Amino acid sequence: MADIEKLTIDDTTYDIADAEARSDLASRGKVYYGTCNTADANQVKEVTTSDDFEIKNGVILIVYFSTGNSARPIRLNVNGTGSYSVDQGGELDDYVPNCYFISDTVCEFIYVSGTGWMWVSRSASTAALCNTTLNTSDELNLVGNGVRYSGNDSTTATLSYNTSIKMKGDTLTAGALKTTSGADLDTVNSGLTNGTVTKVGTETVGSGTRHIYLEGGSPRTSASTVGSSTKLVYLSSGTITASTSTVGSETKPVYMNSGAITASSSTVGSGVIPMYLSNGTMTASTSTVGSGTKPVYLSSGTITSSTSTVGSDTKPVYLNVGTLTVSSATVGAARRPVYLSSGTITACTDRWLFGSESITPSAANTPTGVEVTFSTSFGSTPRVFTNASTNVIGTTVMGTSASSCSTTGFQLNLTRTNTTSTTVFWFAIGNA
Amino acid sequence: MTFYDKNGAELKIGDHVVPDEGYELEITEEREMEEFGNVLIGYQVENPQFFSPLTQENLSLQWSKKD
Repeated sequence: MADIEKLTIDDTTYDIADAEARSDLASRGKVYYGTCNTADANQVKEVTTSDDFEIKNGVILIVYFSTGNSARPIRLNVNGTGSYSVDQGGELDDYVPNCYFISDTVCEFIYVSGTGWMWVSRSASTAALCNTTLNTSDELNLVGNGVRYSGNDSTTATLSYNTSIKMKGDTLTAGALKTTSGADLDTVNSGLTNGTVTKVGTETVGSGTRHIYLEGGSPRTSASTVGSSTKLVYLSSGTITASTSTVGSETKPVYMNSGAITASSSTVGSGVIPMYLSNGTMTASTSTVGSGTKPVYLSSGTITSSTSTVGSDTKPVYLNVGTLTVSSATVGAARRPVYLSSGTITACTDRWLFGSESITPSAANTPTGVEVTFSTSFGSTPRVFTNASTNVIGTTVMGTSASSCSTTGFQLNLTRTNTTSTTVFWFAIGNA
Repeated sequence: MTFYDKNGAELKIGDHVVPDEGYELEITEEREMEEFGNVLIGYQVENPQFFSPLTQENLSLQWSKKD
């Protein structure tokens, strides 16, 4: 084979007998893999890679960062060969989402002689990490897929802010939106999956001042009007624990585990209900729930305890579904003034009335009637039963009957063989 | 329908009738009742809360028109 002394690549002719030229050829475009364990806040990242690494034009370096980065701008020092700047592209060098990343991130760099390291790419799963402290008048514009507080998802975060802040979406990492007015707070969805939101100061939202306002599954604490009446505390859903008492074995002035509670003198339905619980668990007393006295206890279902009219009648106690135990009597072997283990109890949905009339027949063997009006109307036409107060039934008293029955009354009839006045009893039963 | 007393006198609304033994009735209306068919309804003059349906047969047997 002939001795090759020159080699032309990309219009550049190299003397292959030149050792420096051969080295340049060998290192240009060569890819190195390195690791970096430098603290995220340090600007100079110490990278360790293979021993044959040389800082050359065109060298590609892929680095695994175990600790993430929260410093800007950063520099790379590979195998101690010197600290070189990292360029991301002009003005973007100082752009937080571009230069911050979390732990376990892989970045690709290429070295350009005279410029330094060029930051080529970053693994796509990383999220921006921002440890910026905001002052009262600061605005924070967050761009990207999310915002992370306190380092990782599982950490319970504490977010304190002096400015209006709005998190759009159901989770902390679902994007961010800053609001500047109370109207925004009323109309834009917000969410906080865990942690504590502490708002310093008050914000006027709508017609009232709200110390804490989180739309959707969150407390709204203010004297603002909700619906048609003022509700000092209003929780549309979720969990509220509003007291200083211990929740557990101690007294619970107000405690609701779940569901909706509207505690006020507002009108619910057609009547004023001082306290109304649509569902969930209500324990409204200081009595022991278990083996002791339960003045009011509802394990589930709906209870409306008032003198309000339910349906067409007044029901001091009305239980639509569930279990009602209304007494201090023992439920078991002892007496049970009122006990319903399951199903539906509606007190006084059936009505029965009774009475008597003294009827004087017009003539012998001539039916004679009298109109009877019920003291209280039935919901539907009742069944009416009659009986004569006599011991001559079938011989002198031929019979009694009720006719023309309606919800308000009926016609009570008597026939006998003479005109002796006779007492006739009646009993009516039907729907209230 | 035409109603007659036991003397053959025709009875109309507003007439009073008396039985052989019993109470005077004022006839207030004619009504069709399921049990009796057409009857005249008479209210006791002395105790107007009481009333009786008077069939043709009953009227013709024991009731007399009061003049």
